[in-house]
Amino acid sequence: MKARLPGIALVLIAAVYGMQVLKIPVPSADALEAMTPRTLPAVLAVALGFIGLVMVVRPASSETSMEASLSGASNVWLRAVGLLLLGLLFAMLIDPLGVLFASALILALALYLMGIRRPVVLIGVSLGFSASLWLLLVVVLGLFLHPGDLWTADV
Amino acid sequence: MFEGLDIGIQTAFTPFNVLMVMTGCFAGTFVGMLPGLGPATAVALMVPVTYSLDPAAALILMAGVYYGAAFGGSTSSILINAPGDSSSAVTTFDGYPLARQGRAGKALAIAAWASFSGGMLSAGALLFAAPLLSIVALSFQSPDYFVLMLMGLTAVSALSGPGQVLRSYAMAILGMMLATIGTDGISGVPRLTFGQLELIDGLSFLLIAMATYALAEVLLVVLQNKAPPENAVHTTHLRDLVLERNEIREIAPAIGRHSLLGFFIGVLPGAGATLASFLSYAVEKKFAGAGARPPFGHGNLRGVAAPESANNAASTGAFVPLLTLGIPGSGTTAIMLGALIAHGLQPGPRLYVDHPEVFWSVIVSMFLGNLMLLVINLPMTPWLARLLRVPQPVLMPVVMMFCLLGVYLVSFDAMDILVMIIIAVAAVALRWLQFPLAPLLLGFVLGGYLEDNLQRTLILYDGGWQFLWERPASLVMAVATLVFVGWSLLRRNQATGL
Amino acid sequence: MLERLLVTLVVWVFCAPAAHASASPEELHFLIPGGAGGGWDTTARAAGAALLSAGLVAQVSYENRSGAGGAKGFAYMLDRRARSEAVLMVSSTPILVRTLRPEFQQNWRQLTPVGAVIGDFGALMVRADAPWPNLEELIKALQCNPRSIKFAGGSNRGDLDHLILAAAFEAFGLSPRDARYVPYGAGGAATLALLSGETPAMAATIGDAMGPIQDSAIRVLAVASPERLQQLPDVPTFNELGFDFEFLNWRGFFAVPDLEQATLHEWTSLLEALSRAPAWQQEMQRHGWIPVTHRGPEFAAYLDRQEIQIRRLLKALEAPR
Repeated sequence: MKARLPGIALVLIAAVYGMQVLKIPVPSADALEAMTPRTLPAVLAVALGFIGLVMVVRPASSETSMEASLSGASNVWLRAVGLLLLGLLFAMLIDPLGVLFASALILALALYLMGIRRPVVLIGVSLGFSASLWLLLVVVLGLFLHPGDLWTADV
Repeated sequence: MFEGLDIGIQTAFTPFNVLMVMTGCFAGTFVGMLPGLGPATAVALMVPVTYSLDPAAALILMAGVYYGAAFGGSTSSILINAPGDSSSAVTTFDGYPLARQGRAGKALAIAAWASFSGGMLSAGALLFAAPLLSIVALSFQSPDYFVLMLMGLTAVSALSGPGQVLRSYAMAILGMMLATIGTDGISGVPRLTFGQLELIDGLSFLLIAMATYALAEVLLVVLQNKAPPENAVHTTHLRDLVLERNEIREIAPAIGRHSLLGFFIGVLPGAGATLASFLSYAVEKKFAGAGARPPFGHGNLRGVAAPESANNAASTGAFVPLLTLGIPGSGTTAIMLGALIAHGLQPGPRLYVDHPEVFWSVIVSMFLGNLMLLVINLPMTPWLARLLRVPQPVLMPVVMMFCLLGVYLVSFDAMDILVMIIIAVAAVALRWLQFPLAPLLLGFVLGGYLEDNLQRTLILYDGGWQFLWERPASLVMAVATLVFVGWSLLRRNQATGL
Repeated sequence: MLERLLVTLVVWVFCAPAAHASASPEELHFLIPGGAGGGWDTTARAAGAALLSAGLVAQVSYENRSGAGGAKGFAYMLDRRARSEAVLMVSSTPILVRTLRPEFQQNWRQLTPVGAVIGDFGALMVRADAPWPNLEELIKALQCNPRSIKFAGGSNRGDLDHLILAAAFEAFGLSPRDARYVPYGAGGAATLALLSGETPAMAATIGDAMGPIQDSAIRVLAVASPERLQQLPDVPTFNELGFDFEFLNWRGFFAVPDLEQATLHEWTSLLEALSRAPAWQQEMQRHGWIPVTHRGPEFAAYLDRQEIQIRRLLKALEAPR
């Protein structure tokens, strides 16, 4: 089963993509052309599905799994998932807080998650990184970074 | 031409213009290193400054920023697997493994020397043949671009490891699927956007490259929870910056080949430096054959030298259509064109007749600029390589933040961060299932070009395919593609008996 | 440098709310819905620089919010409503085309049109060695077989350059559906296609091909402007050849929704002052821009008319043959 997993994954991707392709609108002016906005996506879906099927039918024999190289420890998974969640949090905070504060906050949290406990490193790295990047972008390069809704909204 | 050269040297070597070259190269290097800020933004930021300069100085400054960014882009590719600009994405393939093996200094030095040589050689080509080369740029039409992209797709098999051809093609198709997201370049119809305004422009190559390489690598390093190999923390010594004779012998032919290839691709207004770096990597891998030690993708020096010389040569080549036809081949050269027009200059066939000092001085300044870039970049490498001595638990969050911010700076849209995280998770899963990711990037780069050019070609030929044999350039490339595919199939059958 | 750093720090982190509070010409913020270095960006920055040097405003800032052909910047503008009146978004004719497409739930009427300052006119062009010496010959050829001539253009199907071609076909008494339009990614790419012989003709705005036109590599058959252009005095307009149509790609500014009448008046007189400022004259000269004057309510009325024209053309392109 494990050997057939990659092939199955491809067939699934091709099927989902193919279903989305059917929803692509074709303007009536385009319908007369040899190639419409749907043509290439449809070809791609079929091709990927075909490769997937071949891989299901004839799975590669010499599988050297990466599983062995992944550490089994649960705290490792916790950390990885935690980093991802922090990334999502960053996406949510960047508009309200602005680049400077959002990046400093998330970076400090990520460092804490990775096991850094010394306040000097926590604050130094996060603030140092964010502030220096911000200064470079805004002051040296003169780029406009929105200061953050939280500071500008309630006037 | 010698008259022109004389004017060029006189203009380019005035103290002020030398200062402009220096400023441009410095700014370009640093902007190039930052993910998210590419040459286009850097040049655009320079435009208001150039209004106060004379046209020659303005173009010299902008050109310096442009090729400086291509020069500096490799740094973050090598050190943290995050390409500083899209044309440096290929440099991660071998540059980052080298850094993991403790040879970051060597990789940076090779990248610097390759970029330097690529820039110098193509500046030479520009000097001797720019007006002639405009014919090349004019003779390539949509059908030829389509066949060129098709030929590029055969590079997929070159990008794949042994026994992975099927998986590689699957990934290339997946990359092309990602490229179909967004507005169709011909009909203007939004595709696979799920009604999201944010997806109408499609995904940026930089987002895909950073997600699948840099961010996925952060996750894998955390998941594998392993310390970097002992020797990775070794300091880079100054002697690493001087290449040994056998290293020179190894990379010099590669640099020669790919400066030429990159320059040629750069001259074509419909291609670009990113494509050039991919093609040169694939070609070099084919050239080296299966016996390359270490294998490509595992820290081969030629795997760094080839794309780095190609992308620099391509950004220089892009000046051919800009200066001789007044046609921008990329977003960055379009900005430069706008700035030149604002100076009352109209680049085109008459530029080197009407304003020889501008035309020749920018070419001459490239020699000076590349020399300066080498002088700026080489001594920095030991310092930059020291970054890797930062302990893993500190470095990984910083790299993650670097990626997230880099993507945000491209679009100023928080949604892109979300998309990036999703793609990074998918990339980790794909790597766990033993799929190679390089073909995905190639498929993404080629997919859009391939489809647009084919759709356009079929409108031009009213649905017919006769361009394949009617147009000489298309015919030659189509035959080459067929021969290549047939040859590799034949060889595979002999090798595996399948 | 240090001074600039301190000022920026103070303004951005602490005084940002106060600075964005009121609509006084003391400070002006340009929202640019496209990338740095593009047409919108150049227009806004040139206008800002001219306003500064003419002493009409004290401080100008620029913000690029590119994406979805300007729709992202538009959405941002709607979103900003309560926050600041001292924001002008730069825009151009494609905003009308966009807002007529189903995937954008936006309409320019949601914002307050302030005025158009410059423009570029549509034109039909051919390569210098093309077999049609003038518009009349081209029309003759098209009347024989409207699908025989392919026209390059720098925008998607159904977008600006295609509409120029459709408007021309309509004026010639041909069906816009029969026009063979070949879309290229940008005006430069379309110009190259024309130069390289990929297509024999092109429908685009004049600015896209100004260089080759001046080099006489490309010939303009007619331009869709009300009067002959200063830069091209020998090129006839469609109107004088007896085809009644104009096609303008204006560039101008929009303010936040529901702007008060007094504030709108303030903005329009600012644009008025801008158009007279020597610094702006110089900028226009420099970029080869053609001045356009549509201000305030009159601009809104112009947009109404242009929207009717575009809607009709889009319908004609989609109608069954």
